[in-house]
Amino acid sequence: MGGKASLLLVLGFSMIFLVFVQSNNRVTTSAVDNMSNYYYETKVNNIATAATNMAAHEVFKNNSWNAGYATTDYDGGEYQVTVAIAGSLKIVTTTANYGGYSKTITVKLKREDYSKYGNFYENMNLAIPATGDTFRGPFHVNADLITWGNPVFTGKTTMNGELKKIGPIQNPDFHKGYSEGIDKPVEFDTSGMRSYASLNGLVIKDTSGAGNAIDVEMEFQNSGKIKYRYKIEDGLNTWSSYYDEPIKTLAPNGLFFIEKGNLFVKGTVKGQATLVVSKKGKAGYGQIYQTDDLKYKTDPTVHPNSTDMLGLVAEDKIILQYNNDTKHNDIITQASMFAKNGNIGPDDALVINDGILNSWKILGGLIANDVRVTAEYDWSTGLPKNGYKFAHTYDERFKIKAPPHFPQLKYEVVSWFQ
Amino acid sequence: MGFSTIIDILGSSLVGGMILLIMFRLNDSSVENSFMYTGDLIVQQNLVSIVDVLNEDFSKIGYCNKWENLPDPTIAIISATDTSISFLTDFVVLGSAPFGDGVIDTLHYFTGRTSELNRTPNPRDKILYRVEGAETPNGSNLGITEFNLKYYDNTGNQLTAPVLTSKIATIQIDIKIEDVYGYDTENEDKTDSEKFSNAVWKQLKIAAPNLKNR
Repeated sequence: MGGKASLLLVLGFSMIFLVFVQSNNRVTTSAVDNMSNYYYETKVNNIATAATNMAAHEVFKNNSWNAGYATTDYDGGEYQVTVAIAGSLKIVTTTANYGGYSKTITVKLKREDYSKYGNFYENMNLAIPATGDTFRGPFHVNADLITWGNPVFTGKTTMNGELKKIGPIQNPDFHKGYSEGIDKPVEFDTSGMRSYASLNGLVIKDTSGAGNAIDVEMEFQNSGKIKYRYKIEDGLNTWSSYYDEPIKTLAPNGLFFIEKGNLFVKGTVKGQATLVVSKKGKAGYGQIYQTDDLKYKTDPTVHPNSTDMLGLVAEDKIILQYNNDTKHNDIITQASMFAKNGNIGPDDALVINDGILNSWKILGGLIANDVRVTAEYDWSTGLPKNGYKFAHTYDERFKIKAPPHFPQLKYEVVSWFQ
Repeated sequence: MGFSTIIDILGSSLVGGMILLIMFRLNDSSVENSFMYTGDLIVQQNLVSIVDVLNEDFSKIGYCNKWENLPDPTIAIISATDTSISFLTDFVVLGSAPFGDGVIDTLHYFTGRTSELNRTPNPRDKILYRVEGAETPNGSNLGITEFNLKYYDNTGNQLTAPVLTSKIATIQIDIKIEDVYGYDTENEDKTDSEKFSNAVWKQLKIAAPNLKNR
């Protein structure tokens, strides 16, 4: 009797333990499943992200890279990358697999327009951002950014080197933060723009075959026409008669290319145009001189939907010319200006300006190899005393649009979907 | 019945009583373990569910299928505090718009008050609201007791309140989830962590790739 009871007791306890153990095992298994699922998802996401970054870097290094990656083993899983072209975009699609889990990331890349920048400099050797300066729009310098005091940067600020702060007060104000070590190499080549101008734009050059330099005077008229004439430096140096045609007729794609020349430009722009001036190896050329106000017919600061848009591209520099229309007067420039090897600013005589201080009201961007002095300062007050004060406004339209065939940088990611 | 029989009965009763006590104790322990393990599992599953959703949503801060509609990612975060965040994104519509419809949407995360959930034994749980656009806030109680956000700029410095949203480069999310009902919650001898299973998730510098591009 006692043995039977013991047996029942042992069996009963065993049964109870079995039930509890099974229940506990089920809970433990579910917990491990849950954890391992999360691990697999994280892992496959990391593989997909890594592969996408590698592909984006390939596109950054080589604008024409479309090869993608065939199925490649990576970190215990695998990935595959394809590159498709959709208009101005490259679409990189990455598919990664790990442990039966799959992840797809789709990234759109677009070549960055220089005109997107409020300020873009290869170097800032001749002047540094200082107290009282306000830089509007995205800002980039392909070198160290040295600041004195507390200049203000309202847009996203990047530099290829480091931020170096000097002066008794070292407090630059970056409204949208800053990033160091961002390389934006300048690869712009005027020959590409010449090809576009030859195709469907206007090329102005010495057609005699002698390869002489050329000066061009150009005035935008608020009717949408351009009035221009040219003078070939052939010894006779005589001006041609005036041409007066709509922008669309002269250059359907909006691109005007002046080869081995200098351009003297002013007027009121109705429509869209980009003016390019090359030096083709001849010193003293490849320069754009603004001779008077240069502005849009429909002011985009008042009418944001204005379609008037102007780009100025000089292989050398862009200068406010010293003449009776500019000296002692405030000047307006509404354009995105690009001086590849030079700088942008007033003529030296305008910096002196007979002791008068005026304003240079810019709507657009300044992209140059270096900065240029615009005024002389009274060092006792720290304020400009003669020359031109910058009054720079960023043209918000340039965030997503650019003047026709305006130079571009490398590809950048414009959307990342995962 | 002799004396020995009485001793047998008394002995059997003592042994039987001890066995019963052991069984009761065993039952208590088993029930407690079962509750705690199941609670742990629920907490863990809730945590993974929430983290999946957060990863999905936060990775799309500043995303828009038509990038031209959101060209400046520095405006993507509308407001940011240590317990709430509002940002611009583009919702995926399964079937019709798998990459988003290109129209900018707003998403708002914030936690409710603990008093909203005063019927649960856990005094600290609150609802994490996820509000799309202007819809009425709704949420389910997944046992969130902590939802803390920290913001960092490009140089890795933490941004202090009031946070200048245009400077946010990375976001750290800390979440603590506890069992809503717990076990033996009236027992004053137990600590909170003994009564309520809990799990903590700390995501250092969550990736929001669209915040950095453009």
